[in-house]
Amino acid sequence: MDVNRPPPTNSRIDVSLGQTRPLAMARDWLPPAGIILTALILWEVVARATRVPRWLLPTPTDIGSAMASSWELLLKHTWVTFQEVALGFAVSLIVGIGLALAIAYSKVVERGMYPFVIASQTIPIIAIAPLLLIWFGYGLVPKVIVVALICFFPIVVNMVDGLRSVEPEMLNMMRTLGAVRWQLFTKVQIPASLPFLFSGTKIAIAVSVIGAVIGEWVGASAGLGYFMVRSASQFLTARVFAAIFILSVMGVLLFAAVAISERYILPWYHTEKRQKAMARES
Amino acid sequence: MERPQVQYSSPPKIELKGVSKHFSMNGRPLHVLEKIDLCVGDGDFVSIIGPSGCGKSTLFNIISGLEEPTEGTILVDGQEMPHRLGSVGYMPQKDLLLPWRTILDNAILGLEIQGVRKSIARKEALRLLEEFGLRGFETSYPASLSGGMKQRAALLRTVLADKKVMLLDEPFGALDALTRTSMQEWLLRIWDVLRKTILFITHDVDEAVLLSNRVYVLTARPGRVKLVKDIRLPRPRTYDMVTSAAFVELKGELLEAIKEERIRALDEESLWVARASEHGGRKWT
Ligand SMILES: Nc1ncnc2c1ncn2[C@@H]1O[C@H](COP(=O)(O)OP(=O)(O)OP(=O)(O)O)[C@@H](O)[C@H]1O
Ligand SMILES: [Mg+2]
Repeated sequence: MDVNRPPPTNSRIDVSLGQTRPLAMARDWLPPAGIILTALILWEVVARATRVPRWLLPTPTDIGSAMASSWELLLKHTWVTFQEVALGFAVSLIVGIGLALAIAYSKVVERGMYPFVIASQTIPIIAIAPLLLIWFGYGLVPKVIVVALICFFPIVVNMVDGLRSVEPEMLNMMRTLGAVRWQLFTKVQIPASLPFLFSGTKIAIAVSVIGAVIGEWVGASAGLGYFMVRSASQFLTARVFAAIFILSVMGVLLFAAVAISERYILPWYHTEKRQKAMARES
Repeated sequence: MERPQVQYSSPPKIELKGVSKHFSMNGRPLHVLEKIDLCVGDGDFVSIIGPSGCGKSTLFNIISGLEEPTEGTILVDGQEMPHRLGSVGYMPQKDLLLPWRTILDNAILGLEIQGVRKSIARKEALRLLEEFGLRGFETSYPASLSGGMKQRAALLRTVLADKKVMLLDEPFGALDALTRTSMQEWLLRIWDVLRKTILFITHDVDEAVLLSNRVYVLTARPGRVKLVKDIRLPRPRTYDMVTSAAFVELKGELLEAIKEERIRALDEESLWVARASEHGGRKWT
C-alpha cells in the first residue's frame, strides 16, 4: 500500500455517481443472483439424481411448470394476500405512529400505554387468530388484524426511541432561539425520529407477510396461505413451493419499496449514510 | 490585577454580579465559576479568554438563560430577567445544525420560530449567503459541508435570529486563517452597522485584541476574572494593526496572564493524576 497516497478528496459533490451507478448495481445484485442460480441448479441436479419422489421434493422445473399451469389461480390468491398485507400494514403504520407520538409527548400516556404495547407482543398470535376467526369470520378483517398486530410493535418501539434520540444540546439550541415545547417536538424530535421509524417499518414489512399467512392458515377461503394448506393436503407439493416463492418475492418487493421511499422521503439521511459509507471504505 | 474604569452609558446591556456556578460530579461539588463580575455596555464588543474547562461555555449558558447561576445575579438592561431564554442570540460551540434541513432552512430557524413566513425568511437569508461563503450550498445538507462551512451556517443562523445581544462561543474556531480574517472583518462590520452587543469567546489572543473593546481573562477552574483589559485601539480596525506596537504590547500582556493560567491548569491536572495513582488507580474520592 502506498502510504503517501493523498487521502481521498472530500469534494462532497459526487460527480462520479453517474458513471459508477451501473457498476455499483452489478456489485449489489450479482452476488445474490449468483447464489440463487447455483442453489437452483444444485437442487435440480440432486433431486433428479437421487430420484426422490416428486410429491416429496419437486425440482425447480416442476415448481416452474406448476406456476405456469395454475398462474390464474395463483394470481387470484396473491391478490387476496397482498390486500391483507397492505391493509394490515397501513393500519399498523397509522396506529403505531400515533401511539409513538402520544407516548413520547406525554409521560401519562407513556406510563399508561407502554406496558400494554410490550405485553401485546407476549401473546402468541397463533393463540388469538382463532378468536379473531370466531369474532370476525373467514373474511379479510381477521387477517388484517393479525398483520397489524405483528407490524405495529417494531414501528412503535423504534419511533419512540427516535423521538427520544435527540441530543439535549440540540434542544437547548432551539430553546435559545425561543422554541417552545411543541416546536421542539415538531421541528426537532419528529424529523429526528424518521430514520428510526423507517428502521421499524422495514422490520414490520418483512414480517407482515408471515402475519397474513398465519391468519389464512387458521381459517380462510382465499389467499396464498389458504392455497398452500389446500395444495399440501392433496400432496401438490410443487404448488406449495410456488406459493412460498411468490410470498418471498412479495416480501422482498415490499421491503424494497420501503427502502426506496426512505431514499425519497429522507434525502438528507441518504446523504449522511453515503458519506459514512465512503469514510468507512477509504 | 487591573480594573480599568470604563465610562458606561447607564445601564449596561448585560451585567453579571458575583455569578458562581457549581455542578456536582459523582456526588462531589465541582466549582466551575466563582464570583464572576462582568459588564457589557450597549453596543459593546467584549471577549472572554480562558483555559479549556474554566467555564466559558457555562457562562454563556447562564447568560442565555439555559442555566441558572448557583449564586449571583444577571441583569439585562439593568433588570433581572428570570425568563430571558430566547431573548439573546447564542451561537454554541458546536454547530448543532439540524441534519434534515438544508443550509438555507437551518439558517432561517430563528425567524421561523418567531413566526416569520418561510418565504420571507428565506429571501433574507439568501441575501447574506454570499457574504458567509455559502452561496451555491443553500440546498445542501449539513452532512455534505466542511467544518468551517457548518460553523458559518451556524453563525448565519444566530445573526438572522436578529437579537440585540449575541453570544458567540468560538465562532471561528474551525476556520482557516484566510476565511477567519474575512469573517472577523465581516463581524466588525455588522457589529458597527447593526449596533449589536457582542460577547465573544475565543482562544486566539490576536482575534480578541483585534475585535474587542475589552477582554476578560478567566482563571483555570474555578473560573474567576483574572484580568480585565480595555483595548483602546482606534477604529475601524483592520488586520494590518496586528503588527503595530500598541497591539503587540496589549497582546503580550494578555498572553502573560493566559500563560500563568495554562500552567496552573496543567499543574492541577498532573497533581490529580499523581494523587489518583497514589490511590492505586482506584477512583479518587
Ligand atoms: N451540566 C453539567 N454538569 C456537570 N458538569 C458540567 C456541566 N456543564 C459543564 N460542566 C463542567 O464544567 C466545566 C466547564 O465546562 P465549560 O464547557 O463551560 O468549559 P469551557 O471553558 O467552555 O471549555 P472549552 O474551552 O474547552 O470549551 C467542565 O469541567 C465541565 O465538565
Ligand atoms: Mg466551551
